[in-house]
Amino acid sequence: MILANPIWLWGLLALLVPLVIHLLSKKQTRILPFGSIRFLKESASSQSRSIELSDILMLILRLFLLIIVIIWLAGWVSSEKLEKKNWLILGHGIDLPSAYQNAVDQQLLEVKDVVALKGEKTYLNEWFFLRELGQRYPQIDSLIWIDNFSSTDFWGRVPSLSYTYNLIDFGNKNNQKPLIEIDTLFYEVKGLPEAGKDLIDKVLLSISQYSGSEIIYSDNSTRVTDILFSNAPSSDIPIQFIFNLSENNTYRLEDQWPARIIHLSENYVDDALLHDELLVIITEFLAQYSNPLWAYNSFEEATAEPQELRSKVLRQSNEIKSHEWLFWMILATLLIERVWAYKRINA
Amino acid sequence: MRTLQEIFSLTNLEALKALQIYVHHLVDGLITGMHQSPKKGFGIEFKEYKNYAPGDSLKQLDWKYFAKTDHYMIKEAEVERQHDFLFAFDLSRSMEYSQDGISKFNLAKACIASFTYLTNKQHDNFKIINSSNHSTNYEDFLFGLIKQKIEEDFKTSKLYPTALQSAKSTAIILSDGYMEDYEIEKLISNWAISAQKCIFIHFLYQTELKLEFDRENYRFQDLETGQIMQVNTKEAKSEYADKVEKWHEQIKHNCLKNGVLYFQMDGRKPLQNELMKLLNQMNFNFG
Repeated sequence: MILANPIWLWGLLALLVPLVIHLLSKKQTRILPFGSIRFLKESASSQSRSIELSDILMLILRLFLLIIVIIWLAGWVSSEKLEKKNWLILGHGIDLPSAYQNAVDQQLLEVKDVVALKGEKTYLNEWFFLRELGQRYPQIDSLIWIDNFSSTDFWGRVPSLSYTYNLIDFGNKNNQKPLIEIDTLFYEVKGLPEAGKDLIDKVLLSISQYSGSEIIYSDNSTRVTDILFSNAPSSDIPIQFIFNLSENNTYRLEDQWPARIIHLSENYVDDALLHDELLVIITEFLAQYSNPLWAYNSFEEATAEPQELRSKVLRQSNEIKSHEWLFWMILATLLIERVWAYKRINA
Repeated sequence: MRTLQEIFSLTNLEALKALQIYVHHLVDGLITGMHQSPKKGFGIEFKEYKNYAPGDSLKQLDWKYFAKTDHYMIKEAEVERQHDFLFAFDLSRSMEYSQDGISKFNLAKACIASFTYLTNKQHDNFKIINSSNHSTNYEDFLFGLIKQKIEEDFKTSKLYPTALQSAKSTAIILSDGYMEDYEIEKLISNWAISAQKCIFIHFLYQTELKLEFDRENYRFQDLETGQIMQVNTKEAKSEYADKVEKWHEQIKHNCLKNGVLYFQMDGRKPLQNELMKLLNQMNFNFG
């Protein structure tokens, strides 16, 4: 039993009150001098016993009422052990890595299949899938997900999840065509004035130079476009900067699988004072795209520290529950006590 | 009834006066209009002369008158009926039980006072056999009666008749009957033999008979033993009433068997009515 305000336990002294009342009430019943109780004795012995019994029951009820009131005031909370589960989700076609075999054998980990979990549903952003998992299965304490992730599986802000997660990229990227060839990105400027085209060229050049030419931006129109700068969105292009917002100095992000669109105000092109800001926005956005804030743990990294992982997996969490029913019980008991007392007084 | 209680709560002397007035009022009211027919014959008080007729007792002949006038005259006087009224007054603590503000003890006192007033009017003797109050003077007797107290350890045997009782006596037993069954049987049968006439005035109140009270739960305290018992009157009522009724019938049966007049004072009806009823039942002669 955990008490939030144990000082209220002093209230248990109040238990003396009904005891005193009980003793006093003995004196309160009117004494009636009677000629002879001989015939009463012969007829009412059982009745008087029942009266005394009801007296004692009343006393017990009042003591009980006081005890539950005090427990309620003391703020009784109980910690219940919620059966927490540690899940290991395997992606399609991925076998259980031998490093986890022991944990699975000891039933520390529960192996799940991602295809079965997702069912019919397709998730454009895997964060949503993880968030839904947390809502559907509150018992998940920790989750390890081994899959062939591509960089576009997780977009934007990391949601707050009710469990700890560990995403392990199976690293089978060679078999897959990457969405963007990271060394060279091809861009296209469409529907913007000539000054705008120049501005974009300059911006991308400066980004490229700033990042030590890791990524080269090219406007080679013969290749498939990776980045679009335009006044209207287009399909199929993963990254789009659309200059069509009428509001001043603002931008809005829109995720529209498979495209990622950032809507920008046209002022960014027209107003020279905003060019620096435009540079920052484009840089940030492209940087997030090529090097997202979240990072996959590599498979090797996870297996290199099995001890730490296991201790985290073994962690059990308790759930604190307060007792609302106590309050209703107090009300009910009080009601019973009052009705009973009223009946006795008017008897 | 409440007046009675008030009278007995006065100081002794005030109570005496008040009781006298009360009793006079009560008894005079009773006998008003009742025809008095004094009996003629031997006695102290002169009534009338009549001419001698053969067959008249020579004892009644007025010899002085004969010496003076040579006429035989019979001197008649009212008959002195030497009759004793004996009260067996239950002084046990249970007589303190009261209903509507009047205790059995005080009601019994009022009964005795009324009877004494009546008997005093007829020059009869009165006496409470189990009391130290042996006064023959009405006022003194009444004063003693007022001062009479309940006795803490009253023995029923004190109510039994002694050998000294004259056969020409009317015994009035005033009791609530709360004694052992054999005691009450002995009391009634003994008095039935010892006295010419015997009346048992049973002070048994309605509340005792029916166990009817305002509330349901009481702690009943036995006046005799002080023992306390908690009872739910509603639940115990029917069984209790049966038991009491059985006991009551037993007492009435005892009286009937011994030729004793049974009369119940239930403390509800006015004393005057009750006394009227009782005197009628006794065939009491006011002459």
